[in-house]
Formats: sequence, structure tokens, C-alpha cells
Amino acid sequence: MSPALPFFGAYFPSWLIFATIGILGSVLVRVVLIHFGLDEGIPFRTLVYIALACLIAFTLAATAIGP
Amino acid sequence: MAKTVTTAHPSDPVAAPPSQWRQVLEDLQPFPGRVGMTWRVALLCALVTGAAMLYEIPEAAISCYLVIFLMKPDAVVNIGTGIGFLLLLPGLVAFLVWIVNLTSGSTMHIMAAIVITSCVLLYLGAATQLGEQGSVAALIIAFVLTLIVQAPFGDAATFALREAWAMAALPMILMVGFNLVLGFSPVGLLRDKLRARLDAAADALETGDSQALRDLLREGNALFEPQALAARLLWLVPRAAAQQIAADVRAGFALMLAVSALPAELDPARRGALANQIRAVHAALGKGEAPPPPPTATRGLPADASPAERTAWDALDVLAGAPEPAVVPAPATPFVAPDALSNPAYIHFALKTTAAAVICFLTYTAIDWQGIHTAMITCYVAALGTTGETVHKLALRITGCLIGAAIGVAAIFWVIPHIDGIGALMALVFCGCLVGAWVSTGPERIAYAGVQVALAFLLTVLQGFGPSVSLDTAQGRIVGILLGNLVMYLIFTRIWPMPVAGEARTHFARALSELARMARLAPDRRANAVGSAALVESLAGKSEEVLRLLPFEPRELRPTPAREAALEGAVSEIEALNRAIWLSPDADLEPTAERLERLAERFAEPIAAAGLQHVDGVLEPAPARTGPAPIDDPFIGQLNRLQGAAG
Repeated sequence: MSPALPFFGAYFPSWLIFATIGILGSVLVRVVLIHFGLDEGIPFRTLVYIALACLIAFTLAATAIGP
Repeated sequence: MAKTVTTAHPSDPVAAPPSQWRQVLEDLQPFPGRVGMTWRVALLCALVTGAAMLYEIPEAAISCYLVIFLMKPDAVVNIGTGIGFLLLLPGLVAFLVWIVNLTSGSTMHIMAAIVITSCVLLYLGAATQLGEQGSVAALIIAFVLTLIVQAPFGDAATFALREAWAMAALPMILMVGFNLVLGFSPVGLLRDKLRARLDAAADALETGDSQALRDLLREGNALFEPQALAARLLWLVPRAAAQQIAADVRAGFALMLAVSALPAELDPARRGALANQIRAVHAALGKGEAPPPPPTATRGLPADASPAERTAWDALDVLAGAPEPAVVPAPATPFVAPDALSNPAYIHFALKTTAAAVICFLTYTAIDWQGIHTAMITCYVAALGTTGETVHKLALRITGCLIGAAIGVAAIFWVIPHIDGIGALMALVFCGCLVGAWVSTGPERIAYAGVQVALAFLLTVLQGFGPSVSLDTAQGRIVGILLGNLVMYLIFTRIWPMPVAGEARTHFARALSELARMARLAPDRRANAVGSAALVESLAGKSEEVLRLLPFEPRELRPTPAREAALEGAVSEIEALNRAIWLSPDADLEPTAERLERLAERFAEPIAAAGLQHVDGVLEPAPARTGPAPIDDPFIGQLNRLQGAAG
């Protein structure tokens, strides 16, 4: 059984929640980088941000639920 | 070097429109970007199939259909569509749950719910900018409700709703991810479009063949402005580059329009200089360099240079980075049509489509053959405003369905018996979808047939959760589409038929009032109203497309050949007027604007009413004005010919 979190009386799979947080976190980082003018200099932007979203999601999942 | 050109005026008829068959062959030719788009759609369909088989989500064919139907070249648009669907789906499911609870399982109540929701959604789709999305929403709700009629209680309904959600959510999630990695960026698409425009303009200058230029002009600019906006808002490129891209979109269109309006007797040397500069910009963009500024030596235009030539050089200046003059924006299309409440056509459309769908549903329920439920889907998907359009779409639907089913049946006989895994099935889906996607990425005239090829193919091949060799689905599908088409044909030609000419007249009316607005601008601002000129061009293109559907109308609806010729003539008159007004240096075009507005009102009236007051206002002189001696209306000839077409 994969870990699940209760919401509104239903059980959501935790990976769904961490994936959402990862994507939102990556978007937030991009907004900050655009503000400082750093976004334009990044090579392979799409891949970098996808990797960042994965990094945030996996780190959070590992810290909150454990390996 | 440019050859001598005898004529290059846009309003000259280029060639007679090709026959329907030649047109189909022409629409199947490759164009830049078509291959790339085709394999992307096919690959995404294969991925959706694989995921649906692995997770045992039913009706993989419908999931793939959503991909083929919704996927556009622009990755940003696709990601937006995907996220929008994902957000809307829970709401739709909640709405269905509410309806099902409200009807408490009674078949009569559910039928009433189908009729009411479908009428309301179809009306909203027709009377607002939602368009076909209204039909699609009506289709989904009606289809799910007809399934619930058969199993109205408890777990069955819950299960059906959950599966329906998964069926739509899976392709959307994959579409978002796929476009993030492999989609076309709007910036790249705009660059390619600009290069295509430059190429067409240079071709028209060098060879006098303006067919490609006409096609690009008639696309208008409204499709590309949002792409430039997305590039800026999402910071896909640095701010300065985004501004240049937005300026390039307008300058590219202005250049095309100016080139198409060059006088035929222009000195070949000056024509050549213009073509060379366009080629230089085209080459620089191809190498990813900044376009070179026009050489100053060629800028010494003589005093008699036509406004078109000046405007073309100005546009080339902007492409090379010169500051863009203040833009005069075209008015935004209102979300709700202005005549939404007064025009009965929208309600007629909603009632006709709902009636057709309910007749189909009752027919297949009465003869107890669920396999042909595509009959009802056909009614929603093929419903269009005018009779000609509907019949044309029906023709595409039948042809596409027969081709797709043939490919699918062939695969069942010769390929599927040798397949035993999901990977091989995905490869088969990829190959079949290549055919459908090739057609569906083409021009709108035939795109719909491609969607049908792919859908019929997928429905025949994808059954259950692995390779399967049953022929029942193919049979039911074809009969269903034929039944739906028959009912639609009868209803749309017998009850409140909408002639094609009426829609063309609406387009003319809009184009003429936009021309009047442009004529009222100060002369030095007219050339900056690229958005308005592009809108008129695209309306002229749309009305020509619409008029080409005339052969699909039943004979009693068609106007007389003389009226048809007059309406076709009106298209080129409007295009010629558009160029003339856009480039006109005259300070005061007020009389022209007034006359244009009266003509727009005349075109907006229903045909019968306009015919009654035939004598009124023909060859009416411009209203006398006080002050200096009245200047003759420079466009009197064109306006009079338009008046004749208005009837």
C-alpha cells in the first residue's frame, strides 16, 4: 500500500500531493529567477526546471514519509 | 533578379478555385511543420494507448480522440488546454452527480435533463465565443446521461463517473508532460511564420505568383498576436526580444499586404530592390542573425513612389529593429454575440441539434442496438451553423470513417494476429495515427476527415486491454455514423435551414464596418491599423471559404448563379477596398465611411428584407457637405459594385 493522506474524507495518494508541491515550487523558483534576471542565462531551461520539480518532490517525500 | 511581371495586383483573380478533388489533393501536400506535428500526435496517441492498457482505463480510443482533436502546434496552448480540462473535469463530474441525484433514476427525468442541458449548452456555444466547446460539453453530458439511463443506481453510476474522469484526465496529463518536453515553442512558430511570410512576399515580387501570399494574408493576424503575448507574459525570451517579436508579427503582415498592393506598373528595378531586401532578411533570420537594415541608397524613393512601396520599406525597417510607430489595435471580438438575444438562429440551432440527438438515441434504444451509439455523438460533433457546412462535415465524416475503418479492419486481419504485447500494439497505433494525424494537421477544409480516420481506426483496433480481433465494433461504428448523418441531413435541410449566403453576408457586414472604422482614422495612423486590415483580410478569406461550400447545399436553398457571382465578386471588392483605404493618404474619408456603414447594415439585414428595398440608395451620391468643393468619393466604383452584391 502506498502512503496516502486523508483529505475531505477521501484518501489521496501521497505521490500526487508531493508532485503538485514539486511543480508549484519549481514555478516559484522560476518567478524568483526571472525577477533577478537569471532565468535567461540557464541552458536547457525546461530540463532544469523539470529536474528541480523532481528534486523538491523527492526531498519532501523522503523527509516527510521516509524512504 | 526579378523577372518582369505583367500583373501582381491582389484583387485580380489568381485562378478559378480548383475542383473539390484537386483541392483535396492540394490539402494533402506537405508544408513546413506538418511532418513534425504528425509524428508528435501519433507518438502521443501511442503513449496514451500504452498507459490506458497498463492501468486498465477503458475506452482508450476516446482518450486518443481527445488528443487528436485538441492538440495544436503551439505547446503553450496545449499545456493551457490540458490544465484547463484537468481543472474543469471535477466540476463536470460534480454537476453530473447532482443531475443524476435530481432525476432519482427515472428515465423520463433523465431524458428531460438531457434535452435541457443540451439545449442550454448548444445555445451558449453558438451565441458566444465558446463555439464548439459548447457542443463538446453538451456531448459529454448527454452521452454519460444516456449510459446512466441503462444503469441508474448506486455503484454502477459512481464507477462510470470515475472511469469517465480517468478517461479524460489521462490523455490531458500526458499531453501537458509531452508538450513541456517535445512541443513547439510559440517563439519558434512565430519565427517560422515570419520566414514563410517573407518567402511568399519575395516570391510574389519575383514571379508574380501571389497564391501563397493570398493564403497567408487570409489567415489574418489574430492567431499570432496571442502567441506573441504568451512569449512576453511567460518570459520565454528576454523582454526586449519579446517586444521585437510582437512588432515583427505586425510588420510581417504589413509587408505582405503592402507587397500585394504594389501597382502593377512598378519599375522592375525597384521591385527587384524590394525583393532582394526581403530575401536578405529571410536569410538572416534563417541563420539566427539580426535582419540587416535596408540599404540607405535604395531608400531614396522618388516623390511619385506609391504609398504601398513606402509602407513595404517601413515594414522592413521595423523588421530590422527600427522603433514601431504607435499601434492602432483592432477592436476585440465581444465574448457574447451582440445579437445573442434577438437572433432566433442560435435557438434554432440548439433545438435542431438536440432533436437530432434525441431521435438517434430513441432509435438505437428502440431497436436495442447499443453498438451504434456513435449516431448520437455524430449529431453533436457534426452540428454547424449553416446547412452547407453541416453537409460538408457529414461528407468528411463518412469518408474519413470509411477509410479509418478499412485500415482498422485490415490491421485486424493481417497484423493483430501476430501481436501479443502492448508494445507492439502501441507501434500499430502509432502507424495508424500517422495517417489520421497527417490529414488532421492540414487545412481546416479537410482536417475533420483526419480526426475521423484516426477515431474509426482506434475504435476498431483498441478493444479491451490488449490486442483483440473482433469486428463488431467496426460494424456498429459505421452504421452509427451513417444513421447519425441521415438524421442530421434530414433535420438540417428540412427544419429552419440556414443558407450559406446568410453567413457570408454576416462576414461582409463585419468587414465593412471594420473598414468604416479604419476610414475614420487620421491618415497617418491608418497604416498602423494593421490589426484592422488583418481582420478584414481574414473575414474576406472566411467568406470565400464559406461560399465554396455552396455546392453542398440542397438546390432549393442555393441562391441564383447571378447572386452567387455577385457575392463572390464582393469578396475581391472588399479586399481591394481594404488595401485602398489602408494606404489612402486622403485626409477625409468620412463620406466613404458613412457609405460603408450603410452597406454593412444592408448586408446585416436578412436576405428577404434587403431584397425588398432594392431601388433604395443605388448609385446614391456622397452627401453634400458645406465648406470647400466636395471631393469625389475615391472609391465610388467599388462601393457601387458592393451595393449591387448587397441586393
